Amino acid sequence: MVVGNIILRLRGSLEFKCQLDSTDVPHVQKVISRTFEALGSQVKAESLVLSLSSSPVFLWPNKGGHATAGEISPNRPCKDLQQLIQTDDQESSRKKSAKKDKNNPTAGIINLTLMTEVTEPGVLSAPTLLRGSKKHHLLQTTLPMDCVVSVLSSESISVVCGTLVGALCSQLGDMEKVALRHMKGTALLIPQPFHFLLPAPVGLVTVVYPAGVPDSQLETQRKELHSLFELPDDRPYLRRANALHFPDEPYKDGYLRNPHVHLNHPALENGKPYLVQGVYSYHHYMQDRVDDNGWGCAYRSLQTICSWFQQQGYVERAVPSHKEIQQALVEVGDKQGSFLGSRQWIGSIEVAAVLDQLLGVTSKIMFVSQGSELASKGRELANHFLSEGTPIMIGGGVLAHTILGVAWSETTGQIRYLILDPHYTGAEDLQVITDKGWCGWKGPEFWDQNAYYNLCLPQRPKTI
Amino acid sequence: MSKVTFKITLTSDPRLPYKVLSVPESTPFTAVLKFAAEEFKVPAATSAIITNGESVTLWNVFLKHGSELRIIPRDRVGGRGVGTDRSSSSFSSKTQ
Repeated sequence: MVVGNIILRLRGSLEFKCQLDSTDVPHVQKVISRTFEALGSQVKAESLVLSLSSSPVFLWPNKGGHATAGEISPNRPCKDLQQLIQTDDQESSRKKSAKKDKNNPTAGIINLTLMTEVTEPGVLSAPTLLRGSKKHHLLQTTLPMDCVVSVLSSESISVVCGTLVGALCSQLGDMEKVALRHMKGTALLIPQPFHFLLPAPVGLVTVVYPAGVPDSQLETQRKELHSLFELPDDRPYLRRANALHFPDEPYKDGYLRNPHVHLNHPALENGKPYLVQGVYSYHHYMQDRVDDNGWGCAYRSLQTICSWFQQQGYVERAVPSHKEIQQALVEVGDKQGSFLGSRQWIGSIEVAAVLDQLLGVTSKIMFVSQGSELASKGRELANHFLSEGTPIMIGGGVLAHTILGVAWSETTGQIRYLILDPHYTGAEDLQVITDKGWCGWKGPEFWDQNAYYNLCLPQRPKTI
Repeated sequence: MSKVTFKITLTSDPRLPYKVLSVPESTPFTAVLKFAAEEFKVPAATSAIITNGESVTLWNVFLKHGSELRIIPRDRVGGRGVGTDRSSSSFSSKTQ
């Protein structure tokens, strides 16, 4: 997001309703196209109204951006709209006392809702009823409109309104294409918009996917888009899981995401940090009503890694529970049946086996005969974060940890490890977790210098 | 009956001793691990075989990467202050 830009997000429902006199495909397609065309006209009509969320303001974009609130005139810059938004009084305490928050969340987003004026002053007329006795199908559904535009905060309201209406029309066009492409007989799949933040210079794009069709069946569509946006063809960017998560929407599952971004990275002479790429969730002791204090740390590190693969779009399955992890190990023959339901410890080899069995992910194992040797693994770890960027599980000296990054200086040999500690037993309190070092940078003395360690380095599957 | 020959190194020993072993192709890989562990006098239950960085549990991984294997001690980890003492011995026994 470029500084000085505001994102406007417009959401709402448009009713899609049409009458089909026959079920033959060309007729159905023609009617659907006509209905989308009518919606396009509806969106360009003067009766379209945008409601500014959490404020008393309404805008008429097709009347030159005329608004209800007196102080908003169409020529004012759109950033003035932000001042009218009533923010939540109960700011979560972690926002107030959080460290220098690099991802300034709500500041740059304006949410709007789509509405239509239903009544209008007009000439009195008598309603007409037409009655026909022919059999027909009624096709009716609600289209979930969700448009996002990025504009300069100095842009005038009237121009921004025009941009939003344009985005709506364009989305209707995309929805029509998707609806026609994925139709099955008279069943219409609802087209759903997803927003993605692609690497520069592409930026923010919106893609429409048909509801109910899993990602695995949409590979052709993704290949076309990868080609259009010149994206690499060996890692996912456009799976539903890759969709942009807007900072002003809390995650519903309650896990913390990427607590490490709130830390200050160590400044090493001639060194730099090499970090995990993408998003993971922090899994640790006592979560999910499982009391695994004292035995579950490797399981939790494995869950963190699974959450990474899920959120980067490689797998659709949910993060496995302790039971599912144990079940997988029995299935591959690494453990006997008596292992199920036990509190037995596992290590990196088991983590690699489960990643393979449940997620189809292969891992590299790095064996280090003494903890002191880890100090010399800077280059290898840095290369891992550059090429794969996946979280690393490390086991040894009776403890498991997750390595999220390394800061290393080629010239001085100084090294620091970014550690996510699964032994934390408290609540999802970002403040405590960062202050007390449950997610934090550690030096080489953190490792047991005499114990041997195994590291599990998960490899990204080459797929989109 | 054809045999598979490979070189296997004990990485937990700083002298990196190795042996060249030959087993019938039909041997299940778990038996190979057991055999190799016995040769080196380390416990099979707490060992694992890796090659080219990948953990080997099946012949197909072995065949992909060639015939240099390494036998490593497994880490078994769970938490603080539970079970094993943190001695500097190379092989920690399983707890619980």
